[in-house]
Amino acid sequence: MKEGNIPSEIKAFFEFFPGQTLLVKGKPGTGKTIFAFEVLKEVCEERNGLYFSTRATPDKLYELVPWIKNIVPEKNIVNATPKKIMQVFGSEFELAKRPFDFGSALTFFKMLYEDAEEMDNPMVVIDSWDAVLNYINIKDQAAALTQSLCELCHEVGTHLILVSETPDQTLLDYVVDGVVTLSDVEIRGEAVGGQVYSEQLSSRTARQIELNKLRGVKREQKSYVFTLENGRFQCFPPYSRQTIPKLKPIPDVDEDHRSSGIKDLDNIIGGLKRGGLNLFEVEHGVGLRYIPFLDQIAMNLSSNNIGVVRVRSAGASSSKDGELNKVNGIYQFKPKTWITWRLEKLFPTSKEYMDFFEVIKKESSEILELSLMESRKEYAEFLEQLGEKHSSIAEFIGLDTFETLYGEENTLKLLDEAISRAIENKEVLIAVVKRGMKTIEMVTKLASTHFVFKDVVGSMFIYGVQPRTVLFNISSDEQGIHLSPVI
Amino acid sequence: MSYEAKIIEALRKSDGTLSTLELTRKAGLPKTAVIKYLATFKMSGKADFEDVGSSRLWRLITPIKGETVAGKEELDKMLKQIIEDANLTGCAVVNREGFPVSAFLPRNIAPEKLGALATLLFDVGVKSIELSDLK
Repeated sequence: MKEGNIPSEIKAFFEFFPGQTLLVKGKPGTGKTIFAFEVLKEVCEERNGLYFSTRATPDKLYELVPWIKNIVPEKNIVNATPKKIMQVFGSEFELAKRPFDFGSALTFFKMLYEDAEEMDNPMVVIDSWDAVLNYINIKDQAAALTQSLCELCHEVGTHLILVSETPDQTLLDYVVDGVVTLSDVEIRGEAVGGQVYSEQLSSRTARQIELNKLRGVKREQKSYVFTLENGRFQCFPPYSRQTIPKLKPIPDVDEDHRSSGIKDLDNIIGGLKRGGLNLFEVEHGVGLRYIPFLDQIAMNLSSNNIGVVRVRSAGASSSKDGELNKVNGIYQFKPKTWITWRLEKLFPTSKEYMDFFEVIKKESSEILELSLMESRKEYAEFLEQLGEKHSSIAEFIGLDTFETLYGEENTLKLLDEAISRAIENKEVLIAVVKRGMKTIEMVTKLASTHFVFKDVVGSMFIYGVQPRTVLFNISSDEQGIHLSPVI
Repeated sequence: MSYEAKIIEALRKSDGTLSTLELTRKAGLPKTAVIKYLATFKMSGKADFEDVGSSRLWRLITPIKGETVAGKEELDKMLKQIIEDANLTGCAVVNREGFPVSAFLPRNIAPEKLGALATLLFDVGVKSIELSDLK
């Protein structure tokens, strides 16, 4: 089931009490107006929205957000001119000597409703509140006037959204019931242990909404990433791993590209290149949440009668493997000769195991050499056997475990051999690297396509380094994995 | 019945006990209409609210029956206009004896008392001018 476009906390905030006031702050272009409309769409009844604007005419507005027409009818788009506002508050001289009270707020709302349709349960957006305050030039009394509007809203049970272009904290923050701040944030690759490669210097832009204050509501998260794709506000909740459903196989994109089985990814890169390295890099904080993404690719290839071999990354084996194995043509490769599988279980903690392993590396490197030799032989035999069952074999290789066990040089050798096989067989090769690996920079130079999995405030994202793409949010439902661009 | 008449009827029946929201329900009208009328009533002195705790309770301001004078209707109209134009909370005209001729005042101000006070102040003022020979 599709969740709402706004954070669930915002919806709960407006459901908590009938007359809530929310201050929406952010620099120009951060999506405040579209966010306010998205709130109206989810919270307000039909034809009960009123938009008091200091800048937009109905034509302009409907062009920007045509989907708001049935919530905010044309008559309810009120043009806020200085003249209109001064009619309410009188001259500057009168303003200076008069305190703002419930009566002032009442007069202000009378002006808002004057030419609008009658509404039983109105919800009002003032965009922007800064501009209104500037018109009447009452900086010192801005909080008092806002307070009087809030009191009226509480009393009559009318939700109010005040849009402000002042992202800094002001007295208004204390007066209203809720404050959110919208901003653009630069997302950069991680620098790990001083290791920097060129991609870490470039960045992707993400949009973020921060829930600064929401009276009466528990915040599950303090901030969310969102997109304004197709002129809609859509926030991204934390990624929850779904069981990958059995999907209809998607055939090859063209002669040189297999479908990834993820339509959105195919649209971005035109499918997975045959005879080249498709590299997926996993950043810290992602954990194992990238696995369903690769599962869907593997399942699609398998459904198209391609044998799929997976040499898993560290920690990537899970109970879910059993499910995957049921799909015909997907094989997990765990070499019996691979030292890690046999010894790991003997140690109560992973730290003790890793300490032991370091000692082996230093003092008995011949054991590892032997293990490497045997496991390479074992893998070659495994591929040969599979070749008898399948006309073509796609390899998925997790390089991190291999690098830990056998070092950088051997990892690059393994990859080089796999690339040669992929070129020779004109088949898909997928490799997974993790941040912190020493071979990352070299491996990225060998890749035909290179994508990075990234965690931003609990949500899962992916972006392309080769080809360069914007940030995409990863979500999944009964239709499988979806990618939504952060625009 | 017009919206205005419905709101006045609800105000009359409630006798100063209804908040804005309760008045909306009582009158059975759209919230926006009630707010518009209440704002207009307040500006014209026809109705006003009193702060009671955290709520504002609405009541009608009934013109006081004073001496029947020629042109009383005209006078009432002028007073209402003055209240609206000058944004006053109330306004009254009293005769030399201190009896109110026309008055639109908040509920807690008795027109007779205000009239008596106004006449007294006026008399004191006149006396002072006479004594100081300021003409």
